[in-house]
Amino acid sequence: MNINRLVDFGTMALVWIGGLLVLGVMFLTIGDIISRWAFSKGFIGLVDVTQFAVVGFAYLSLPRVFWADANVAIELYDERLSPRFDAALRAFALILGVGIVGLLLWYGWVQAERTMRYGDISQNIGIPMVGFWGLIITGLVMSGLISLLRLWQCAVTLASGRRADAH
Amino acid sequence: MPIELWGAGGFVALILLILARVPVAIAMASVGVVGGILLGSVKKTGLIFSAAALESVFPYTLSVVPLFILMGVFVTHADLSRKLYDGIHALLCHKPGGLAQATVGACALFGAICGSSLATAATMTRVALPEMRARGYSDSLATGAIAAGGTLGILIPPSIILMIYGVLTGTSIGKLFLAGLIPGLIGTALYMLAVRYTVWREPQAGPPEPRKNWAERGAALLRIWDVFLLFGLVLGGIYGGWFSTIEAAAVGAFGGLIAAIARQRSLRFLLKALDEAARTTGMIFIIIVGTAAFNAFIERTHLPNTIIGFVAGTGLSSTTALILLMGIYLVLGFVMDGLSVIFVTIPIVFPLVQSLGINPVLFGILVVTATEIGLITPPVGMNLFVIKGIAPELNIRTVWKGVVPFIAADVIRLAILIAFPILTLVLSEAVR
Repeated sequence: MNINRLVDFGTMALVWIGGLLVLGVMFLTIGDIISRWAFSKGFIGLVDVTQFAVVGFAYLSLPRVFWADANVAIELYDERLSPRFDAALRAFALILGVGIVGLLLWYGWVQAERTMRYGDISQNIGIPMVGFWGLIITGLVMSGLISLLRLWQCAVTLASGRRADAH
Repeated sequence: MPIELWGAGGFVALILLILARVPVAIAMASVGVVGGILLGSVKKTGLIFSAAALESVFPYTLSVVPLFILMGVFVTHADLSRKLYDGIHALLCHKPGGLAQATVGACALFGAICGSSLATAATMTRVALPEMRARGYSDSLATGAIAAGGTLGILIPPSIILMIYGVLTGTSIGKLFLAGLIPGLIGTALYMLAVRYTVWREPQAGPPEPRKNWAERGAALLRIWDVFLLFGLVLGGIYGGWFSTIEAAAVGAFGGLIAAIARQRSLRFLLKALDEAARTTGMIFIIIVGTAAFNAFIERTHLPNTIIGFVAGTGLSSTTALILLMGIYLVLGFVMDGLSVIFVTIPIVFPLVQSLGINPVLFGILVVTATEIGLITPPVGMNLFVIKGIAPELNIRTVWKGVVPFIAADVIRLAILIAFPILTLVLSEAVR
């Protein structure tokens, strides 16, 4: 399996996990509405579960966003750029991206360690906060690796003058 | 150097980074982090930034975003666009330009439940463009109607961009949704008038078809019962007090999923749908994190307060300030997409809006209206490029020519909404 297909599969796998979390919340919310209507009693802890699922879906989707170039960027003059200049601009954006993801990861790790040490939990049903950080760090690690891979592909283009195949 | 200049410099750096094609989220985070480091310490900035990674995506109100995105994606896979188009077509086909008006109407309804302007333009290009071409419509009218119609869903609830504005400014999302309804309907009516104007100037651009009888019209409308049910359930649920906005989003996503399963008769579409939803959700949430970093930096520079002091010193009335701000948003919309414009400007502009006593609901609707014009104006005009991407044989100049009457309609709508704020606020103020 080549690297592109491997990354494609890996990012999709994370999307499926995040998607299952958010679909689960969708079903739970419907169940909560029905339960309130039928038994005048809702589910306890739905807010915590929803927050966990949304954080999960957001961060587990992030590697897919980086891999599919789905970040919002303004592309006013693409077609007029030479492949080398285009790659240089992309490389600049990717270097900033690696830096930002790296910084988030570094200090995110510090926060995760702290929440684990203090045993922080969510408000209603006590989901360990380190679980939230686990989802964030997983998404960030994958996004950082993908940005590095993209950077390497840009370097190839810069060196050869030909556009590297992204997928 | 005065600290406010750091803020102004940061804003200029942000615009330059965005023009250098750095993704908006990365650009905002970079300026926020570098600016924070220059003003303070590396460790403090890092800790503020990493806390934003969780805190900015943690609020429970944000749960509406992925759920409404899922609803939109499922509805697209349910192929409701075709049924909507056929239903409205049956009502309007006998009028000159009726098919283009049907496209505008179908875009408004589909855009409302789908929530994405680009997805609406892409879907309706596939559905409506071949029909209009087959019936002798000019390419410019056909593509203009699709491109412009695609923007209508941004205002008609539920709207993702209004949700984001609500979360960023702390404005009630329910009120924003209600407030968007009348401006969205005014937009639809003005776009239909733009079609009539085009056909009046150039009758061969949209020839009428034979009138359908009432039985045919009734049958076509009955086939779109599921669209009205979904729309009614989500909005009726929120405003009827049956459930909260978040629950409405879950109900909408569930309804969309059922409709998609009924259409596809398998679950295979689910993987593609989740992929599409993940790309949009991840993209929005990473911008939210970037915005948090940028906000923290801007707040430390006191730039918003300085701008407020400056504007107060000029003695500008709130209406004049609003008109000037809309002018700026129109220009920004020409080079940036609406979502980015809102994320980049709100931290600086919103405190000024509050200080001038402008209603935040009214401002949100006006900002979204102004920036959505950018979706159909060159050079960015994302909807135009979506249409060109799906129908590559089209000349982009033909598409540009086609949207001119619709841009004029948009500017008229913006002027009406500024002149008569009651049109925007009447529904939202009826709800407490």
